[in-house]
Amino acid sequence: MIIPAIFSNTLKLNADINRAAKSLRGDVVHIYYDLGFDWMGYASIFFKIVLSDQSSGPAKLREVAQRVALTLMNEVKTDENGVHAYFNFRSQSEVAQMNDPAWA
Amino acid sequence: MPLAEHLLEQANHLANRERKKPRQASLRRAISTSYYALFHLLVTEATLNWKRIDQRALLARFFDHGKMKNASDKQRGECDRFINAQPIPAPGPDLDCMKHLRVVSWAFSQCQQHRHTADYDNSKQWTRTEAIAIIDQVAAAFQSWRTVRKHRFAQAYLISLLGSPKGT
Repeated sequence: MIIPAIFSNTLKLNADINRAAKSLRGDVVHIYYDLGFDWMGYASIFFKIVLSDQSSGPAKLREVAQRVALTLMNEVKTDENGVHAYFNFRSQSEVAQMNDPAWA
Repeated sequence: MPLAEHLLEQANHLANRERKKPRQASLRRAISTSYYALFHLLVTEATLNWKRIDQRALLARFFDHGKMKNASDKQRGECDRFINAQPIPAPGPDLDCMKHLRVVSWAFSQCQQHRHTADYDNSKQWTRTEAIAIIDQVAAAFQSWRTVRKHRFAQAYLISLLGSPKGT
């Protein structure tokens, strides 16, 4: 199993993600992530993105989700780093309501 | 494409049930169903090229989820290289097709992973926003596919879904 270098350099990864989060301020409230392997065994980064309630509404969700995913892939350079990127989006209200430790 | 479209409609229905507190079962089935909507859209389109109509359903059973994901990841990479090439590619049908194929292949890869989690990982909790974002991505893939389905790049993508050819 090949472990990409990005898995062991989380300082840089965090900096890349923070940079993305700053550029997405207004839509994105917080970005969590997990490192692991997808169902096919490929090294992957699983982004868990908290959106503002306004940005996660039906009128904006599709456009915002696409823009956030592209920004993160570009900032983290997921393809160049040999990792697959997956994205989950929750609204700020949902995160507050669910109290899910996986999103804290 | 009635089956694929009906599955997408059903995914939307499931994701929007129980207005106040959606059941995990509804959200899980919504996510899984949206993946199968895209799966059946692409498989049906691929088998339409098979001349013998009575064998298309049989041919459809030869498509493998893992091979389709690998093909979709590869296709997305090719789309990115084409779109971001230097010098910048000239506007036209080829560039448009690659942009739309990127939407389709990326959605397939993303949704397959989500479907796997939704179907098999009971520790994962889902929210309505998560489900709708995934379904939205599939809906966008449907729209993109309709735009480019006859383009030669799109047709080549359909063939690639069967797996890697020998000698590559």
